Amino acid sequence: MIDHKNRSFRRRHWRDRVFRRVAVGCVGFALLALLTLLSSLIAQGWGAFVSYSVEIQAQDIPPNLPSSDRAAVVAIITSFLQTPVTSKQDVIRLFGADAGSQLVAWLKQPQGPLRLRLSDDADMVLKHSYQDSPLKPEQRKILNDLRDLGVVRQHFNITFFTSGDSREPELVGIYSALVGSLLTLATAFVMAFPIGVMTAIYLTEYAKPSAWRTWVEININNLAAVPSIVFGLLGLSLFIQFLGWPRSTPLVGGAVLALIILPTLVIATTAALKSVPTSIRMAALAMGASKTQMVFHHVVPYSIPGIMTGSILSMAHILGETAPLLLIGMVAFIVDVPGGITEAATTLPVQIFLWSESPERAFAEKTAGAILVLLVFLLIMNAVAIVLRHRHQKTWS
Amino acid sequence: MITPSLILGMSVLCLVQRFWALRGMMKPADVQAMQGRSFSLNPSARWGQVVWLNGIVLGAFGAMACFSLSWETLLGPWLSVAILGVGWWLCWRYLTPRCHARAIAEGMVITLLRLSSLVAIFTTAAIVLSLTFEAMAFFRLVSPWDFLFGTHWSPQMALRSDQTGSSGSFGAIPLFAGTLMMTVIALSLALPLGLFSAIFLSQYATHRQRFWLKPMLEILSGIPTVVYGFFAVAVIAPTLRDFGASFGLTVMTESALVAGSVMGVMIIPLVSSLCDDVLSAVPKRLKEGALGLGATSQEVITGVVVPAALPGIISAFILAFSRAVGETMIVVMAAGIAANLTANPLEPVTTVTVQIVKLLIGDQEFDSPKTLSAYALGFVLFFITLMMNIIAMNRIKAYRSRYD
Amino acid sequence: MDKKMEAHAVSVFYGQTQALYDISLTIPARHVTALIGPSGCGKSTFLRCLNRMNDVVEDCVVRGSILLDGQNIYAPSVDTVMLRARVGMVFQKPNPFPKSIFDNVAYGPRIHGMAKTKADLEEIVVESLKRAGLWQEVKDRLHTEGTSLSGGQQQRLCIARSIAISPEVILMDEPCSALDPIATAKIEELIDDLKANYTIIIVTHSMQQAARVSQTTAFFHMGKMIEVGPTDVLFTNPKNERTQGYITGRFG
Ligand SMILES: Nc1ncnc2c1ncn2[C@@H]1O[C@H](COP(=O)(O)OP(=O)(O)OP(=O)(O)O)[C@@H](O)[C@H]1O
Ligand SMILES: [Mg+2]
Repeated sequence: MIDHKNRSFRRRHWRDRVFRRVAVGCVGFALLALLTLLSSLIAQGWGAFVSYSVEIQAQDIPPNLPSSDRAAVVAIITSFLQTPVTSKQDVIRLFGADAGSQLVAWLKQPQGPLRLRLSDDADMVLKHSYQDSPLKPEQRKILNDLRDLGVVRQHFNITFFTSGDSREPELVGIYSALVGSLLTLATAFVMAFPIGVMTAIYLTEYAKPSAWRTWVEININNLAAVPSIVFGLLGLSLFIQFLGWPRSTPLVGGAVLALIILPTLVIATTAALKSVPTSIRMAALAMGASKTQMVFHHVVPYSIPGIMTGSILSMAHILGETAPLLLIGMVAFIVDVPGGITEAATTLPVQIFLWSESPERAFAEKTAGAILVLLVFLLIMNAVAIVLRHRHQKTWS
Repeated sequence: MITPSLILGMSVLCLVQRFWALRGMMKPADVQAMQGRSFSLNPSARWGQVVWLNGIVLGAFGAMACFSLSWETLLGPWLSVAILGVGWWLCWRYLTPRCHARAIAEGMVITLLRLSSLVAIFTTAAIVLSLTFEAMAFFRLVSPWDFLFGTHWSPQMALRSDQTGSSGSFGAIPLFAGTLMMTVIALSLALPLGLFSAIFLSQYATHRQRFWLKPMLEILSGIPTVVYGFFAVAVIAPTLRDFGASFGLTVMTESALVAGSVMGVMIIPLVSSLCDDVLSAVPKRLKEGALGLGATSQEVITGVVVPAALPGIISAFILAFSRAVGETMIVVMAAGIAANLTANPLEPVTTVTVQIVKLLIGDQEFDSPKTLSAYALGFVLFFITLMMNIIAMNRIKAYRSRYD
Repeated sequence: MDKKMEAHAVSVFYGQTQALYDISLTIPARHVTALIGPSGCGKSTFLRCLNRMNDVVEDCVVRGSILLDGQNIYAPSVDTVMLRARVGMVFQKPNPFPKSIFDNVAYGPRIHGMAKTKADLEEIVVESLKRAGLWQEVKDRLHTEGTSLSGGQQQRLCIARSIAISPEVILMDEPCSALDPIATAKIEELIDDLKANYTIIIVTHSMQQAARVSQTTAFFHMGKMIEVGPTDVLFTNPKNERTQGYITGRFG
């Protein structure tokens, strides 16, 4: 009898342990996924932040350069190399599309050494030493010679943060996309924040329990779970087709994103408002404050940290939103920085999507780099929200 | 110069108005004097100012509108003056010692708040209307039967003018099947992993572990889907292809398995945080009762805690389902666009959301069936998620009423 | 003795359930009136009727009439805001606003436009804090949060806050139940001082407290007012046997 009990006991404990380990394993899997994701992105994307140039001191530059800038670049490089170059194309292939203009600019104002940007293929070979590089063996040989001569320098890729999109991977940057994101987000915030906060105030403080309030609440809860691409469809037919707003602009993008975060914002604000205890409301009323004074002198000010936290989190949410923006045409090829909310623009996540479609290996690196920048922004926003939440936890009495 | 003089005139008017408004209101001292006699009136100075301000704002807005509308006709300035005058007159009339200024002011505030709460309803209405409208236009070109039950999807053919929509190439079954397969793959990963993570977080984890794990999972859920899409294409797909090759399997780069499993990882934090909430909300007394009877913690969890939280867990699963159905970027990037009708998860399939994006990216003409079919797909998508949300909301309500 | 407030046949319903039955009570001016009775008998409900705080409670219905200086406070033309400026309230749990001590006290005068200048406002604040017996303790930290004070200080801050708008009546719902004996003694002393200028109605569970601070006591039971009279009479010589039972501690 006792033995039987013991056996079942052991089995039960064994099951208990297994169950627990499964649970731990599942959390472990999630963390592992996060780790894999981040580490593979860093492994792929770090290269976006560094680039290679050939640096040549002023005294090493031969006189009597050819008038064509490309030919001049070739002349400078060949004057350096010990072995003769069979084809000029092999040299040109190693340099970025703007090497010619870099040279021209330097010749106009010769300060410091001449810097010539390497092409994306050369750059990738230097970073990863791929075997299946599109560079021909003789081109790789020239590159190796240049490296052995010590004129190839690695430096921070400032272009990545100061320029817009480009056909050439070595010239691309995220600046235009960042500005586009900023404009879109600002538009969305300006549109959604007042309406969201006012809706929440109305629902929590003024609306009596009624069919109307239930109806609004159901609507908001439902909108919070509608796929964002449906909002993209709405934006396309309402803002662009019906209202005739300009396509591809932060104005339309912001409006769509505003509709997307509106429910989140209302829900977060409602929670913040509800966390103000009844005793505070009673105190205000008993002082002879009217309902509206109670709300705007006490309830709303005391819930501002909560509202700010909610807004930052919802901003972070739409900062990564992509699909609806594809539908309203924010996929344009944007080189210049958008000057306003009615000019064509793209956003960082859309830029990431566009680059990820490109076949070149260098674009994959740039994509991962842009993702890292995006994640840093998201991380900062989340951290600010968490700090705000912890710092302003109110003690009520 | 007419403009400066007009502005000057308006400022003078405002000053006069202000003077009268203040005259009409009571001083605080009068309030105190009145306290002994009556409390039926509230001539509180501040609220009076709100009404007065309203008059000004009304006047200014009207003036601005008229100003910009018909400046050339010279009617504008006069109209602005007239509107400002009306605002002024209204204020003067209302701001007597007997006016209930606060009620008027609060009425305005509440009206503003109520109007803003309409936006949520308008949004839903706009979604329903626009989707229905365009879907109707589509169904005038293609029969709903062909759309819902056709097995061949190639909208590109309809671009040719000689066979507009009549070719029957809008059969959406492959898309529905692809969406379903993708959802099943994602959920079969996300539901167990998410639920067990939630069980760990809510039942086993120490305070410290929770403190670290929760933000980690929040980060995972805060990562944009375009990042997951890139992860799928750039990391998971090649790995899986090499892995499959070592077993002699050909895994296509764009396969349902890759997109589905990455989507599953994306949904884990959603499931785990929703389940964590409901599991943590199960009253302690239930758990302690079972523990007191000598049950192991596994028996308590599977026998007491999970059943008690079941409605909430089911609603979390339903929300995860609608999330998976509506997910776009991962599938756009990692699944294919070819509308294969296949049951093999190693082959590329396409989904409703992918097709919406592919149909609408680039230039659209709003009368071609190609564009309109995206709205028909959107309509189906919205309808499905709406149903799911309603079911989930009812479940949550049932759950709440059980323990409140 | 002049009457400050009168309740005539007041009945209160919370939805379907009736909480008060036909209460009629006269509250004399510049007097402390205590309401006693077992838990749930409707003392707080009655108190909340006197400044219409019950209006905030959903589906609460009040029947009958309550007069303040002869005017019905439930008349349709009455503005509850003005009423509450005249009939202040102190709650069971101290509930200072999460603002500075100064702002807590200054809030009422500000919204009622009682001070024209900053100096006026400061004078009102200082005067109120002095009258509430808190001035000595907080005069050096007027700009720290009100919530950083001790429980007893917070309660006195709440009293200072409500006398800052110079109400005529102050309602106190178990003001000492969250406090220790020393803080309680201070508040009782304060009530004794305040009754020279204000009409005070206090709900209390402590018979000793009622006996110490009040001149009139009303005993409530099951939503009905059983007995009312001068405090010393009611405690030494109750007419009703339920009163007798309650004050001798046999039930409740
Ligand atoms: N908001 C409310 N909704 C419904 N019923 C209520 C509400 N407030 C009080 N009641 C009911 O009214 C009755 C009287 O409550 P009240 O709070 O006035 O009692 P009390 O005498 O103050 O008790 P205590 O001494 O415990 O504070 C009680 O039966 C209570 O359940
Ligand atoms: Mg009470």
